[in-house]
Amino acid sequence: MSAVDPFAALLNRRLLLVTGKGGIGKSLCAAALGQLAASRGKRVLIVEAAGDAAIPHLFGRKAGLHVETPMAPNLATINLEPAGNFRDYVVKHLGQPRLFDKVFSNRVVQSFINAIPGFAEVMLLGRLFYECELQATPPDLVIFDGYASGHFLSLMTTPDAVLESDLGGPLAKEVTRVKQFLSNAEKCASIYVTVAEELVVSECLEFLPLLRQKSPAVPAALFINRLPAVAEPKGGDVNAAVDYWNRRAAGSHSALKHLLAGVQALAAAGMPFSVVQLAELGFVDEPLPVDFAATWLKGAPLG
Amino acid sequence: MAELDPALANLVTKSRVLVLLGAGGVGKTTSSVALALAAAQAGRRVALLSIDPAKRLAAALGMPLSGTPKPLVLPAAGEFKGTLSAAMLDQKEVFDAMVRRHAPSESVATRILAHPAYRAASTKLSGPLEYMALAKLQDLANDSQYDLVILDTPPDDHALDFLARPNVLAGFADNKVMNWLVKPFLIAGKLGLGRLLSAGEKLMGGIAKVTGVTSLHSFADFLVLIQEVIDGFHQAGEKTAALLRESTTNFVVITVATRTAARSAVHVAQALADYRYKTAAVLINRRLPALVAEAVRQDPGAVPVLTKRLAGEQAVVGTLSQGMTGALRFGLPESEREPAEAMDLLKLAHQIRALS
Repeated sequence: MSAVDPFAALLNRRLLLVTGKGGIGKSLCAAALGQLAASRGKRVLIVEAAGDAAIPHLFGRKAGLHVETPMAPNLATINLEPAGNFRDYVVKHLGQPRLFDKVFSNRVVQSFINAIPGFAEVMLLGRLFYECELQATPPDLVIFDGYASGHFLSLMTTPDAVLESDLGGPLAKEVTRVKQFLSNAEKCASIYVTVAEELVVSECLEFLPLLRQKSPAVPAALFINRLPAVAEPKGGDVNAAVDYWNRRAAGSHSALKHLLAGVQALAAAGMPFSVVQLAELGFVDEPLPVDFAATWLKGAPLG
Repeated sequence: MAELDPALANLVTKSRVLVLLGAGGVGKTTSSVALALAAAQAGRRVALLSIDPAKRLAAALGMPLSGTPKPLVLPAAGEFKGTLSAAMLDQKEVFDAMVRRHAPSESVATRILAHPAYRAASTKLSGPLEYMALAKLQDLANDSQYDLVILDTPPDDHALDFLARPNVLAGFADNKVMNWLVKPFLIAGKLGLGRLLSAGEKLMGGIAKVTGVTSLHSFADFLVLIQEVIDGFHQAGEKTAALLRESTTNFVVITVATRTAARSAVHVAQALADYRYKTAAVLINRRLPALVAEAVRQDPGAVPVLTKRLAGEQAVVGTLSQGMTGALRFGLPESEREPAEAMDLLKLAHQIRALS
């Protein structure tokens, strides 16, 4: 069964965290996974935490900041922002709306709170936990269209940084339960997106063990994006475009070999990943077709 | 060797500070090195501040992995008339230096550096990086050894945080937080007062319900300890904001021809305008090379993926032109080989062309 359906194990989790180097197709992968899960009848929420959201554009809709907005049947998105995360934490998680009005609406208090190291990160992780586990009717699957690798790693190491400092009280309690949730490999996993280019592959192979070692959420899958198929010129008519494409394909092929060998070595060292290979699309136009995931992800060979 | 595009030559010879901004993965670091080499070739004494250069790129150029600028040995083939020194931002190193500079005494500096909240802020968390880049930029701009400073901004999705940085500490610098909120709270604690008296103290009591009293005390203590350092940071931030608004400071937005990157570029340019910073140019990296584009036009059926890409690129360039009026537009074709040495990067700079 698993050979037929490489995505079932991923989509059965409650929270998927998507990361990878900048500009590599993280949002596209998050959107495609969301579309696939929704088409299988799961209720999906894609979460972003970015100044300018990408997900609504990919679905051809508009969405306000910090407002859950439907994108397609069974699929919604929200772009979380720090001030809203904190308000939700006090009002929804702690159930203290009056405390929020009396204390935290004050601007001086806000600038004080903003300065506490790691506070915004803890609030964001807390919101992801809340969406998955605490709210009355949680979605079946939350997909976090996450930060780029380095920033993502520092987000994921915040719980430990907070717990190591001498914090106590409700915040430490919150951090502890969030970390417990993230560490549950049956419920949470991270997905690393990369491309088959030499420099990027080296970076990826250096980063994966670090992520495995430091992040509570286990990296479970590696998505290799933008893999060119070799062009087949009609009637031997080779032009500059075909040449160019074939050279790219050859470079990509050798980088892919390097990457897959590295992944095998990691698996042998006790860090298994499932590998998904994704085709180069040339250009991603918006909005995505409704059957985008069905064609792009289902055509993906499993390494 | 090909000539540098005249508009680009003008930009690198007339600017005193160039700040490169863009979303992650659009080639900011590579572009910053290429522009630095072009400027050095044209006779400028350049300081390049990188945030996190790929190790191989750094090794190829002999770039130091330290915060102190080091002159690079430039290849004779480039006929460089100027010089290029490069530094990599070491967040903790700059942070420590700022604390030593602004703390009222050596002993206060030592206590700050040993405080757990400081260790968390200076090493483990991503926020202060932008600050430190700006502090370092100011130092280099003041250094008479250099007449052009090129700053490559942080490699995450938060290019805009960078612009907001000089203003973030404003709430602290006007002392409301300290005099009204933090100090009365600490004094009440030290005197063993059972209840909190002033409005500010009551607010701190409310905050403690969320953070816990111990952690709040620890953090409040830390804030008092670093009060003068915060003031110093804030003043430095104001000076940097002034430097960034000077007529010889130019922002260059780096992007690639995808919908997402272009949207981000327009967003960044808008934010720059809001902060009254000048977007002098936009550089569109990794375009389909002209020869390939021509072949695609002649035989659109040969490689359909490239046909799709070319059409997409053209649409995106149109969007960028509409969204960034007033900025020069440059394009750089995708290179098939990753640049392995200084001459490769200099050649990249020479392939940059103004778009008509």
